[in-house]
Amino acid sequence: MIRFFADMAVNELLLRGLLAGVLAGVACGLIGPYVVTRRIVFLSGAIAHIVVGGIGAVIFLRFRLPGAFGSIDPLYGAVLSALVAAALVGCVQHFARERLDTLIGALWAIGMAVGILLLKYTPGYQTEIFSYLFGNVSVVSREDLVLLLGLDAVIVAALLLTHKRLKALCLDEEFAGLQGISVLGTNLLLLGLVSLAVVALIRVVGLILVIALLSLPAATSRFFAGRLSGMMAVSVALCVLLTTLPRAAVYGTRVSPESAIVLAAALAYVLALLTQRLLRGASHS
Amino acid sequence: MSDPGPVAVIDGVTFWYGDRGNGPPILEDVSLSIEPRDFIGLIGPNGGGKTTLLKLLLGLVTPEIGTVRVLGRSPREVRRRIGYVPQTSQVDVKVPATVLDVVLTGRLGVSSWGFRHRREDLDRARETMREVGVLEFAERGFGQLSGGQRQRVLIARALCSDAAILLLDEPMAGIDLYMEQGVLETLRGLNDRLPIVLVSHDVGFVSSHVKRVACLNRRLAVHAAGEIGPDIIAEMYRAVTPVRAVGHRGDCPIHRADREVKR
Repeated sequence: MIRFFADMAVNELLLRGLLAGVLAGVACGLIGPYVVTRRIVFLSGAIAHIVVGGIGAVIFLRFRLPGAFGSIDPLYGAVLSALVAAALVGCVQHFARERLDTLIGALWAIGMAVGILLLKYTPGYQTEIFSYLFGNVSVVSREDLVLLLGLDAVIVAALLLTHKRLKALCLDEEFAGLQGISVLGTNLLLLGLVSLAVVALIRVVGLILVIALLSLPAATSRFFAGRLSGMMAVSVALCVLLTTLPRAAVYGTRVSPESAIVLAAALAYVLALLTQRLLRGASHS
Repeated sequence: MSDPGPVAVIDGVTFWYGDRGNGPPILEDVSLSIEPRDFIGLIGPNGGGKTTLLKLLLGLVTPEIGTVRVLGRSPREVRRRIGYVPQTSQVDVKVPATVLDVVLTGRLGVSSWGFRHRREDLDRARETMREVGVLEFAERGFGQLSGGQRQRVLIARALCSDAAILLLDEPMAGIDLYMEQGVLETLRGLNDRLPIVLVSHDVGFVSSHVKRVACLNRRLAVHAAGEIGPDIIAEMYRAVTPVRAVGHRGDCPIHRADREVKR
């Protein structure tokens, strides 16, 4: 771990990777508590997998029509497709509630299938899609960092403006509606923010593992906080630690840093759960 | 100030869900005037239109025939002055939130933007919580409270947007007799300054604690609570059960009783 920080002084890529982890950690730490509280982990997973289709489309278009799309970073395609995915998922959730799981499952699979199909027709880019699926924190560019900073800024600004509404939606949707809050609008806003957090996490752990970081640190923070705002503070701290320390710990070994991050997140959750059970058991006896 | 007049008026409302003329209406020629210190118990069989009547008063549905006015305006315009207590089950008790957080959602109609709550909203929420006797639970989790305490928290939530009328849907469902007394005391205290409409299945409870009983079974009949004797209650229980089972929207027995009393 010490070597990681020593090498960082001379290796800018390591520093960028670390910064990317911190920035993505802030995004998922802020949004995770809403995802867990509102029980939309599954919907967030669908958004992530629809984004695979979006990234596939951008890479495909870049290859086929380099004149028009050659200069577009696939991550911008990811932002756009994530927002479209959020709108789709939000509308299904609002208008087709009784068949929610079927339709979301279908969107999940279709998004993934479109991405894979388009990449099949884009020779030479297979490795690139792998970096989006499983993350590749060691090749973060300056542009990626600017995008991440932008995503964090949008998420923070949106929460400062609308936290009360989002909280009311989680607490009692029907009552919030009676108070004149648009349930569909607020819900779409929340899913939109989730989709931005998903994009922020792509570079750090990859799309497949996004769900782990959106849900596990937030679920862990629940043991330490009794309010949504407290959960957000704890889960931001946890996410930032989780996206940085495990990477440093496995640096120089053959263990993939992305897997290390997710496994560390799972370990933190299990430890918090066990500690709470033990403490509760002790107080009862 | 002269006579303030009724707080809410339902006048000649006939209401269908969906297409008109598609079967009998849910409500037929319903009129009700809610006076400033009223305490109305709304009873009737399932499907009799109790929830629809509440929805009309809340402005969630609008009648084609007849009018609904609250504070002299359409219910939509004054929605934040209408305190509404739904059944407990609709608050997600797993959500990490304090009792104060739950009550504060009642202020959304006043201010809903921002991250933190305004001083004014916090003060108003605490004041209402003191009034209904739940201030001591302010920092507890909503899920940790008993049924009766939760019900009173929901009453505080309904009131803290400067409500001028209080509507409660089955407030005594799922709480025991002892807690019921506590909730009832709270409501009696509030009734000194606001009219209350309470939906209930418990005919005995309604007839002994409210000022007027409104029996709704597509049509509405209202009379003073004192007029209901044990024999009428018994007859109503007998008649209400088959109405539910067959799904037939016949005359509510209390209508007949009411007419007999008037004669």
